[in-house]
Amino acid sequence: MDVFGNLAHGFAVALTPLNLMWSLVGVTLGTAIGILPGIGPALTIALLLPVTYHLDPTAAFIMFGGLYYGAMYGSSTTAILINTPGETGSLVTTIDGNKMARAGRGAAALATSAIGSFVAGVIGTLLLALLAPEVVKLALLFGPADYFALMVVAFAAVSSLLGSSVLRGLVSLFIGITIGLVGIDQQTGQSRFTFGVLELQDGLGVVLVAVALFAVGEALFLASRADLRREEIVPVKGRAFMTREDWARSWKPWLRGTLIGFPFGALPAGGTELPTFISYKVEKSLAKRPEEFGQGAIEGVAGPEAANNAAVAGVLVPLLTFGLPTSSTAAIMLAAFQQYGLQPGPLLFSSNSALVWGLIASLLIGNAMLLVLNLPLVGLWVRLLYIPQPWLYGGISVFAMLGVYGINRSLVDVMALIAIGLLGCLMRRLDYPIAPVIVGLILGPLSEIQFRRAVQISQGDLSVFVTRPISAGLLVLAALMLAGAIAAHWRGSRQAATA
Amino acid sequence: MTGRFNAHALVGLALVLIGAGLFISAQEIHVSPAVVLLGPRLFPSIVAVALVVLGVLTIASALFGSHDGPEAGSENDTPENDWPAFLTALAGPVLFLLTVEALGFAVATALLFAAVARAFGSRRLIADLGVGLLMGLVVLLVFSYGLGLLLPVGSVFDSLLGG
Repeated sequence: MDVFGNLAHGFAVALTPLNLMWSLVGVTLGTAIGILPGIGPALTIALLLPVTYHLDPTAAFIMFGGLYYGAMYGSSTTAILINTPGETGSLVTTIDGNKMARAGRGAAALATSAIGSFVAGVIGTLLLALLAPEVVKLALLFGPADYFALMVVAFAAVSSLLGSSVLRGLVSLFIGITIGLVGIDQQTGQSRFTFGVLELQDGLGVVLVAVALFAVGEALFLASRADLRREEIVPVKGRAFMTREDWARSWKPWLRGTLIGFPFGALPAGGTELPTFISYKVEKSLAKRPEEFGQGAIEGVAGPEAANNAAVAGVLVPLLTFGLPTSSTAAIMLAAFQQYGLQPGPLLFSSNSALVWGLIASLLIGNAMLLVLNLPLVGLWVRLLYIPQPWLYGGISVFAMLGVYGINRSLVDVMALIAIGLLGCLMRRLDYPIAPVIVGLILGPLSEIQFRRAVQISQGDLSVFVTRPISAGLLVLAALMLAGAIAAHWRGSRQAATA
Repeated sequence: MTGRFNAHALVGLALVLIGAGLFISAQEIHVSPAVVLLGPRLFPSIVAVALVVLGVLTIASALFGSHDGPEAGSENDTPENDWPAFLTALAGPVLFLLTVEALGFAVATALLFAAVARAFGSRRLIADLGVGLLMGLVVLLVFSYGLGLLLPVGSVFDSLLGG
């Protein structure tokens, strides 16, 4: 195959001084926001969208890619040192990582997570490069009905795998789809649900909704919950690096974590939480001393961190080949593609091959940069954790407001920001997941287009979705995912009731 | 726990009402006679029906169900509510909304920053206002001179300077 030719082509794009600089900007910014609690890659890319409007798309995506990877490296630092995951994918790392830090083994925990992330990031990105051209061939067979069914699978995945129950996930998803209905109907030019407000004709922008939910909603939620605002930073102590024993105990979990994480990201299964939990359980069952888990076992950091980064790389497969986002960050990246008038999917690989392969190559380069940024320089980053929390959230609010108000200088946007921020706060308080809202908002309008196209091609025959084999198979898959998740929850609650 | 169950029942009720409203207004979307197949009404109607169904299920699970899943609500079982802090944080963007056109971007940013900082426990109001004002001024200058985007300086200051 000419994968290596493609990669060489990509490196030629990524290795220009300007693109290297954008990659460095991305990974640096990504590490910073990963470390800072309260600001994640989805929010940051949303805030950067208006600013990067005039940037060359390739440069912008090289920066976004670096940011996306960097956030995952940075968030593990926060998980280990202050027992709070910077991103949801680092939730498991807090269990043993923070215990290690408290036992004076913080440096080893940071090292195994950074090297594990590097190993997983490189393998995951190479798998992406190998698989994507094959998946593109599959994607070319897809008609509108199949695309619609695929989006239904993504809907099912994002609502059944994130959050505490399928019902709540579906509610979140449909809140997002409903918000996505506002604005001009793309096929007939009819305005819908704008309540006569001119500013709503273009719909509620992705930037606005993402910023409202992730920045304003989160700040309101944390303000309302005094118990979640206390944090304690554990200073990095211990040897600067891993011992021989640490290496011996880490390398297998890195590889296993990679193998667990990548498929979860690559299939439209969505999310980085599930593979990290599975990796943790696998490592615990394989460990010679499982009793150490929960007390600071290095395998409990190495495996899930690798799984997290491999899943992050995997998520790019459906995003680039089908235009299918399965996480909130991927959804915002899809919005970024739309901003440049690009449609991710099989055609992107032929029409914008420089962008795609430049992005993939820059991710490999970015991983090397991140290893340097996160191993020798971790001490510098840790200082970010000492920013007083009031100023951190004050600053996040200011940037959020700037990102929303600065674009159109519209007070209607500010009102919408406050209203959706309140909605986000309410959802967080009642334990509804946020990511399905973002995915629903972005995929909702796209799924409507594919749905109508499919029915127009079939001349009004709605059975097209079940008579085409690909579409029918995908719809069955979606139903199975929902049914499986409901069954798992039901069994779980029965066990909880009898226990 | 009953309080939480009722909160979820209210969410369900809200979903039913929103779904019903969406369905009714979807039928009022103008459809041009040129549209033969699948106009702009069908998809919103499907979404509306889904909202109603989800609302009914949410009410049912809140009132009768074993609730959903073992982890449900585990994070929020004993929340320490801090309503003054919540209202202070909310005051930030509201103050920005009310003041940005009259007092300008810099002052509005200072108010936003100080309100949110106070909600997160800061008690140095003057310092917070100062930091916020500085951020606002830097952004104002960068946007006006760097990016050519005009943020409001404030109509009050305009009339003072211009008058």
